[in-house]
Amino acid sequence: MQPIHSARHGMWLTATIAGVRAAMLGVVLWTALWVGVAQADKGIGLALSGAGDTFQARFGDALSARLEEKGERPLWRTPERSELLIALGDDAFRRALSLQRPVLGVFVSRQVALDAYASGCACSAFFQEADPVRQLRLARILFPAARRIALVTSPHSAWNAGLLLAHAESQDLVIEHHTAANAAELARSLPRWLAQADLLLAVHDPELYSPDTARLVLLTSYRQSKPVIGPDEFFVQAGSVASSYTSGADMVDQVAAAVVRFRQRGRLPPPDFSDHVSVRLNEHVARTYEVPLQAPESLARQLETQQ
Amino acid sequence: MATGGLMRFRGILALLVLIALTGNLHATDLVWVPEGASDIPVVLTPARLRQPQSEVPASVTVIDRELIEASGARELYEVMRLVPGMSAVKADGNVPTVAYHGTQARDSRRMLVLVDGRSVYQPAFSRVLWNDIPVAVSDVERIEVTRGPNAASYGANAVTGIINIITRHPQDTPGSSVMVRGGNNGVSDARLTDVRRWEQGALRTTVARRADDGYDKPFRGREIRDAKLVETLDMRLSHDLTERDTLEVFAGGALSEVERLEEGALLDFSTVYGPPDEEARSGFGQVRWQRQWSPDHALKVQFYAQHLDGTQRAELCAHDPLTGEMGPGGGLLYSRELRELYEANNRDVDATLAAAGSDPAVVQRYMTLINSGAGPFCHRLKQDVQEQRLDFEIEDTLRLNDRVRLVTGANVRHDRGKSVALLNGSAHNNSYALFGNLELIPLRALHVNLGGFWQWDQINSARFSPRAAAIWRLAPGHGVRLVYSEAVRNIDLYEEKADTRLRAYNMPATFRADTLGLLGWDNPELFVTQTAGGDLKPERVRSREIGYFGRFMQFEVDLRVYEESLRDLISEPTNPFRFDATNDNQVSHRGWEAQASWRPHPQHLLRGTYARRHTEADIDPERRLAARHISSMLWRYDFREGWMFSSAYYLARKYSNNRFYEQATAQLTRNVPLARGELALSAQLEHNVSGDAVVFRRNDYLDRSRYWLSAALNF
Repeated sequence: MQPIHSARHGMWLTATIAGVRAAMLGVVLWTALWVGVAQADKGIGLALSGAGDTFQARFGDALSARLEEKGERPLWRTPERSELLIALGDDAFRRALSLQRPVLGVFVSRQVALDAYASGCACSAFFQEADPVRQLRLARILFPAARRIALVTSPHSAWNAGLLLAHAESQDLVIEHHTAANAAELARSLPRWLAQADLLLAVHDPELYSPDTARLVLLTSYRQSKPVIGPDEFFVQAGSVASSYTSGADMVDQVAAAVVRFRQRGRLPPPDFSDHVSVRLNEHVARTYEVPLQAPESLARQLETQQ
Repeated sequence: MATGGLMRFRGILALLVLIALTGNLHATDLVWVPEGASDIPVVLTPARLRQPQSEVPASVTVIDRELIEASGARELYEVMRLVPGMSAVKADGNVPTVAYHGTQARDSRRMLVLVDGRSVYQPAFSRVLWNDIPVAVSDVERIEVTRGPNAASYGANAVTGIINIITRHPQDTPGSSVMVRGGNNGVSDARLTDVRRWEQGALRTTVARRADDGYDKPFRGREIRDAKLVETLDMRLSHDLTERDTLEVFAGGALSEVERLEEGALLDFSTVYGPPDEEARSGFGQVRWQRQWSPDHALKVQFYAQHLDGTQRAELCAHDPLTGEMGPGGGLLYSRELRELYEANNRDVDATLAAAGSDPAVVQRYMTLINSGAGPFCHRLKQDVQEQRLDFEIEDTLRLNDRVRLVTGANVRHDRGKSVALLNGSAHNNSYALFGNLELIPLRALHVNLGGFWQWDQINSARFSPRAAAIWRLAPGHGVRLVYSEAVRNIDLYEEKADTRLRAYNMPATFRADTLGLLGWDNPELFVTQTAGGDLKPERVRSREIGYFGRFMQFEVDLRVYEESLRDLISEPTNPFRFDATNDNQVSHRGWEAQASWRPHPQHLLRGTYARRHTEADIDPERRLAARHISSMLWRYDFREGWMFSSAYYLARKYSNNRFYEQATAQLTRNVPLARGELALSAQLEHNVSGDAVVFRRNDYLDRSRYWLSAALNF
């Protein structure tokens, strides 16, 4: 009988061990599942600052929707408690830097963003300026015959020339770069500079391309039959042929991608121009210059695929 | 209440305009508006924009600043050599003739020339005085030449074409500058340009002078007298009154002194001891107001007044009709009795002179002169001309939608001419015009253009000049056009009311003391006189053309195949010695022409034109400028920063049936940056390749090459 008992006792022990193992596995799995669910439920703590309330609210709503499409759950918190602070515009970006939180600037001036980045902040930004190289690409799509590109900058925007010259050389283009210290010098010299160019590439520079100088720039170039590309969609409405720009919706896509990356890798991409762009085309002016009309969306896709 | 309602209405209107302007941009929800960006006004409105060249219902040549610089032209007319089919030569001494599909050597009657929208076509004598256009070449921004009739847009006299000279906007003039130029052939030019800018506008003022010796090779042992000196003043002011209103003021004038050749008819019965000189003083003032009612609606109102006062003087001694030598008997040519005999012989000069010896009254007068003891009958002949024009025009541009654009307008004009020698006083003509032009795009690839210009004036009554054109746009930048148009050249004041009286001025003391006793009247006149019949009708042209404009990358081409029929032409001379004005002549042209430009490299520009023309005319003078082949080639090479080389070649085969016009030019310029400004140095060479005289045998140079150097300081 003993052997039998022993045998029965051995079977019970085995069953018990198996049961304990199963229970432990269950606990581990449950814990893992619970932890996973709890982690997913936690989401990422984001905060938005800057811009007007309306724009900020709309941007936040659009970003939430985009993140959720990507499987992320944004948790909107106060800036001080956020894991990532999204700052809209230069002022908000500067203020955000003082909170000692990771900051992602949006529609931030390139110089402001680069200065902060160089000083070692835990930050990054997507610039408000259009990528000049992309603007040049747009110019080439619309005016394939244009080879001599006039680029007029102030000392503050002279960095555009550095980016463009390198690109232009490989494209067999000539960048005629001129510097005007202010609007008065622009008024004096622009006619002469345009004379030797096929088109004018206007870059983001409030000193030279502003509501106060739009009339000067656009009429001067038009009188010489020299089309203007850039610097933004507002100038296109005023009379430049076309411009690429980052719309609010484009920026939402760009930020959503950065947030996901931040969450996965724990770091932000370096400051840069947005990869997502739109194109605005002034059809009336384009027709005057005999530009084959294309849908702005198609132009934007061409620019994005050329990157 | 009414004021409040008006204010509310304006407020709503402003809001609607704002919504219309910004609606598209803010239609999407998320628009990032940088500070101030949304305040940018709409500058290039649809109503302000011009048609692309492939949609223009005509053959158009545009000569821009880059080409003008490359041409190296000293004088404005020289730039016109770049236009296919255009004759631009100094046919009459130092007086340029510019004519598209030119026929008569001195003919500038059949082409309209506008400077900033002001017609420089002189109303009384149907001419364009290229020497007196007060615009320096350096102040020209662009020249648009419509090849073919375009009276539907510009009214009468746009018969063979239109030259539209657009000066630089004062805002676009780089800065003040001073230029001097000198070379062989007596070239001596100078220019001073001053530019003032302020927040809403700018003012450019240019004072210039140019002088040269003209054709300097003696002809038949005599020196050719065609040196000239021209001094000009030109001013353009632009001021933005508001965001939507612009006021422009133009003013200027010219003083010209040109040596002239003796009239052949004068030499038949006179010895010229003081060769003719021609002086002209001209001035103009022009005001233009432009308003943008909306992006699709613009209005332009313009008024100008211009005046020209020209005099040609010659000192001569009349030949004694019996001996053919100078003497008191020469006074007979200015006697009342010979005039009466001339009238009795139906104004036939030869018959009058043949009958003079047997006419008792004439013989009596001759004997009186011979026995008077007076010296030779030497005197001054003077042809005085004053022309004035007052012109008011209103033009409205309305873009109804993407497919319909309408330009309408009205014009009122007063022309006045005064000349003792040619009109025996003054004459005037008032004209009234209505015009319209409708651009339709019924299909995406089809553009239709219907236009007409109705004009009534006191001399020519009512005339209507229509045009219909269809343009098939193969692709953006490519258009095939079919154009039918008609135009008229109006009879001018002189053709309608000529009454020539060549009076003798500065007579010798003996004749002045007893003019009535010696010559039979107090104000002696040459016995030859001419009077217009007043029964002429306008010259007409009818044109059909097929054209193509295309742009492929760096290559641009325009082709024109045409047939032009000019009817009711006044081709015979209408001068004080011979006035055979009839509408009996006709000319027809058939041919084709092409212009192409190509920029193979950013530093190189190549351009060529060619025109092949077959002209049929029923009278020789209408063939003098009818060159069968006209072409030009130009190369511009910006080879280093601040350096430019250009070269051009011009050919016309053949003028006056047998003369080649073949010229080559070369130019080297260097811009040297200075601490404040720039120094521009230039060397130019013009070479007569064929060695032929220009149009007429007397038009020749001693040296086949002419060169000049210039230096300009821009600051």
